[in-house]
Amino acid sequence: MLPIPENIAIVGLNIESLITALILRKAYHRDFVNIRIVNIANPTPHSNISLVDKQLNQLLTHYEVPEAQYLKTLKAVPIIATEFDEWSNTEFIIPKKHEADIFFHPLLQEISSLKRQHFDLRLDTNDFFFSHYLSAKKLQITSESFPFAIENGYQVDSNALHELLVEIAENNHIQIDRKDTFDFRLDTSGNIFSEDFGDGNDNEYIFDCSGFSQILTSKLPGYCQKQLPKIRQNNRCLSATLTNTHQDRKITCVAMKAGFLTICNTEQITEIQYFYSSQYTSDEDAKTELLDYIQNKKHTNVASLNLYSSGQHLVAAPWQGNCVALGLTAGFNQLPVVSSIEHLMLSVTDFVDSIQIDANEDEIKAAFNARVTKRYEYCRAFGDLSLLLQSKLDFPYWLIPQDNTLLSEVSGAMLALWRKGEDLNALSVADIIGEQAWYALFCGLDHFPQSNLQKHVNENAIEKEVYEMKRRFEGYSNNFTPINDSFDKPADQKTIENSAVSEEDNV
Amino acid sequence: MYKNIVVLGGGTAGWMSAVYIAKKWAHKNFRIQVIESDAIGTIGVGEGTVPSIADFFDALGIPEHEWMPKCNATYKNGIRFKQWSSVDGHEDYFHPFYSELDAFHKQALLTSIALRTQGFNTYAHPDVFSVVSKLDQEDKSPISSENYLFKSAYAYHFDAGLLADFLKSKAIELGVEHTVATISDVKLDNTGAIASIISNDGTEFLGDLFIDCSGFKSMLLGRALGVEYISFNDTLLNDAAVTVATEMDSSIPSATYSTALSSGWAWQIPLTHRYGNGYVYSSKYISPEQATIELLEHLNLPEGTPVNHVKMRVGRFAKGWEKNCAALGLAQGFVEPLEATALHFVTQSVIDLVSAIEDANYSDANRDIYNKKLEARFTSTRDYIELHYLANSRTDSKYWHAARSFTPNRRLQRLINAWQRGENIAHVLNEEKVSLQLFSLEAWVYLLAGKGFYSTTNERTLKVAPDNVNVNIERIKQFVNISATHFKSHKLSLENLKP
Ligand SMILES: Cc1cc2nc3c(=O)[nH]c(=O)nc-3n(C[C@H](O)[C@H](O)[C@H](O)COP(=O)(O)OP(=O)(O)OC[C@H]3O[C@@H](n4cnc5c(N)ncnc54)[C@H](O)[C@@H]3O)c2cc1C
Repeated sequence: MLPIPENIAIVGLNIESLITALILRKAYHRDFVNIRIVNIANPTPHSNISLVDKQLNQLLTHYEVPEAQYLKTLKAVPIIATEFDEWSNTEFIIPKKHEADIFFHPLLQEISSLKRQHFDLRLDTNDFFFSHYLSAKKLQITSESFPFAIENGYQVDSNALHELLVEIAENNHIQIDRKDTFDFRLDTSGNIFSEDFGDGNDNEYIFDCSGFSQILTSKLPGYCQKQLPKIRQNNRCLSATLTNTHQDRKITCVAMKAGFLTICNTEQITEIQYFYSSQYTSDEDAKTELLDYIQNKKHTNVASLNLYSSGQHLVAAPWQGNCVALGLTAGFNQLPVVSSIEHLMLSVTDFVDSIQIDANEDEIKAAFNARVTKRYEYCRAFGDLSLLLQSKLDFPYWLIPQDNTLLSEVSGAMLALWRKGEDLNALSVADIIGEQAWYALFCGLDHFPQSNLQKHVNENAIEKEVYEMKRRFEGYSNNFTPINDSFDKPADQKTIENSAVSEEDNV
Repeated sequence: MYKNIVVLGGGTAGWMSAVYIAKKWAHKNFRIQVIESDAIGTIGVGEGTVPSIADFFDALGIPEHEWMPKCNATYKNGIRFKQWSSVDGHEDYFHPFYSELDAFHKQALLTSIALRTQGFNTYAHPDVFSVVSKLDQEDKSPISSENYLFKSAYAYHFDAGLLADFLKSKAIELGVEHTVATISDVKLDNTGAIASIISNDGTEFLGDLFIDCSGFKSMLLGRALGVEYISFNDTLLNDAAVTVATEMDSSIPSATYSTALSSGWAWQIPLTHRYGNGYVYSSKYISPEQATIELLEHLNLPEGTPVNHVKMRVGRFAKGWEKNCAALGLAQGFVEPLEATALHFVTQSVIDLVSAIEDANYSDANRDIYNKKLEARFTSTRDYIELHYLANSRTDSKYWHAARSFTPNRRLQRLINAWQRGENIAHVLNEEKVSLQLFSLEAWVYLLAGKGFYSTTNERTLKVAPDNVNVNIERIKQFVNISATHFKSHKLSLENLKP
């Protein structure tokens, strides 16, 4: 068994560390456990928009922040799906799970399985997800007369979230040390101690939330990165922040010349990040491409433009000795289907659960590490397969064949199940990317046999079922009232004012 | 080859079989005759059904608005069992038919109840998880608004006499010949099969296939062919019923009510214009006169109100199809009416019979397969109904002691043991190959949990439930309440039945 924590130090003062502190504070009473956050100088670029899920609402509710207030303060816009534009012939969404979808999942499974067996059947995947109807019809996401819920997330203002979390932390006996230097030492068994933390007894745990700089984690003796296949790797991120924007309840991923954009927005700003490979475009071209995109989409004022280096990574063993790497420190995937905060919250909960397990310390840590890294791998596999199976024919970045044999264990297994026409549930990690998302991805990318197609004898009956499903969803959507007009549609065009553009190149 | 088909009996079973066969084999040029006696009446009860009946009407291509009004039919969401248990809080419970809305909380139901069987203090009554149960409580039909379409499997109540008349007219439209005659003799051929049946005026009816729908008498399968009869009276005590109709209330219930009385149980079946009521009892424990008094009291009817008496034979023939004769309806067997399964046996049997014959090129090659399937249907239905009695906890009469005092068969014993030890009964049902077609896993759980058949009934000794249990009962209650608002009143749905 592991020692019950008495002193907890969290390195880095940021949204991730504050959330970590609040989850731990909820689990451990202030009379018995000290929790402190140690600020450090941190070059990790931070996004202006954070993507969070409902778990954060629950955490804040625990700290008596009413949901409505929190959403308003953070200028939150819900996330009901991630939309993939330009990846294949049609746009498709990876929906946030809606409880009403469950009744139609067997039909999606059946049709997709038949299509994989060379049957020529029509399949508009979006029709199978209630989020799609809510989005297309611009409806509220909750209704008093429809008791099935959506597991939506939120796009929130990072600065406002940071401020709110600091306030809650300070009111809940979480000490925040704001200093720029920070010294620590490693003992022979690989545990970290620091005068800055306290007395260095056994019951001390240290969480590394220093982001990409991995201040503690990278110094640990067993530190190494898990090697995952490199499929269309992007090494740059060009990030634009726009004001006066429209509001979209979907996060959008757009395939570009040499990578992809991810677009998210709060009530006040939009953030567009272009992850690209400098092998296939220059920074200057990427910038022009991004600005053209912004102009074409009739988005509005660009307030800032920043360029960073960006890669994906995963620490092989996030928990070593007394130090646990969390959030961006532990891993990063560029495709935002699961946000870094979601990963972090699950990992901290796993940690709390681990402390209660009656087993040998090494086994507990190994199990924790396996679980946490598996989650990242699932998300990475999801991204890798998106990048591998897209059907773009226009640019070298997308056309260069990738070495399929290098697929990760998870991607390989998922792809094999899919190609064999089998159900995908066998491998899903329920708490991170559900089965439905995988179906949405493979179907959305239209990854089906394209030749030797045959007619299916039950085609009419199947079409009838699909029709019936759509009728039912249409009916369900009548329970919802429309949202404010500013959502889901671009605001009137305003010209892009380049004056606000600033560049910060950390490459 | 079966080309000349003779159906003996013009009760519900006779006409259901005739119309189905005529529809299925409409273009075969087969001759189908129904022979019924005007001297021997039909049983006249049998007004509750299970959801498979809807498939039967679908197969005939007859929509609800056509047949329901003609048969004074109503919708049935399930059965509410009242006073079967003396456990606090479990005085009554609802056995709902399948609905997607209830399936949505199936896991929560199973988890909560499994924990209760393990001695934890969780929600132990199944009604709270069920939208369909709520529909019963609010006298609502299973028909929802267009904005809330979820699949559900509901059934019907109807006037058995009117339904037989309706089916008769349909059958005749389809070319079925109808003869009124009382059969008094049966001629066998040299293989022991039936060659013809002869009426008491000497008319001989020849046939290739005989469908015996002659009621409890089982004139052809039982009497003429001498197929062995297996009685269920060692475990199921009831052998008679007394029935009476009463006036309908201002609101029409959408379920059958089964209330335990001193020596059996009473049904109340709502039709559009009246209730059908009956007291099913054991003549060993109560006389017909006493039963009548008890029923009238239960229904608040004055002494001397005219009633009907019916005798029942509970059991089955070892084979439902022998030589060239298949029996359907009461002539095939009868597990007592507690779950209103008799017409389900008729419809499923005739569907199975037709396909068994078709698949064997209109011969009897599939007879054994058919008989095995029928046997399995009897076995699971009988098991389920026996469990109702085994799990009863009434202490007020000798009858109820006796009703649960028989030695359960191996399957039921394993099931009860597993349940009381807090183990998963799905495994037992699975290992014992109990068919879940008519009674699903949830149905078994509803029965046991509904009656509060837990090994610990003292709530104070229950343990606090583990806090990682993922059952949010408040949310489920809210879900049930909101869902129910989308369903119409039963009465209104019936008035609105139109093409
Ligand atoms: C108390 C009770 C309650 C029940 N409740 C339900 C219920 O809720 N739900 C349900 O599904 N079922 C119920 N049943 C069963 C249901 O009543 C029967 O399954 C159904 O009515 C079919 O009966 P039948 O057609 O087989 O027989 P019957 O109705 O008895 O018909 C027999 C037919 O055979 C004819 N006949 C008999 N002998 C001869 C002869 N010698 N010559 C010519 N014709 C002859 C008769 O004239 C008659 O037409 C109940 C039964 C009982 C006893």
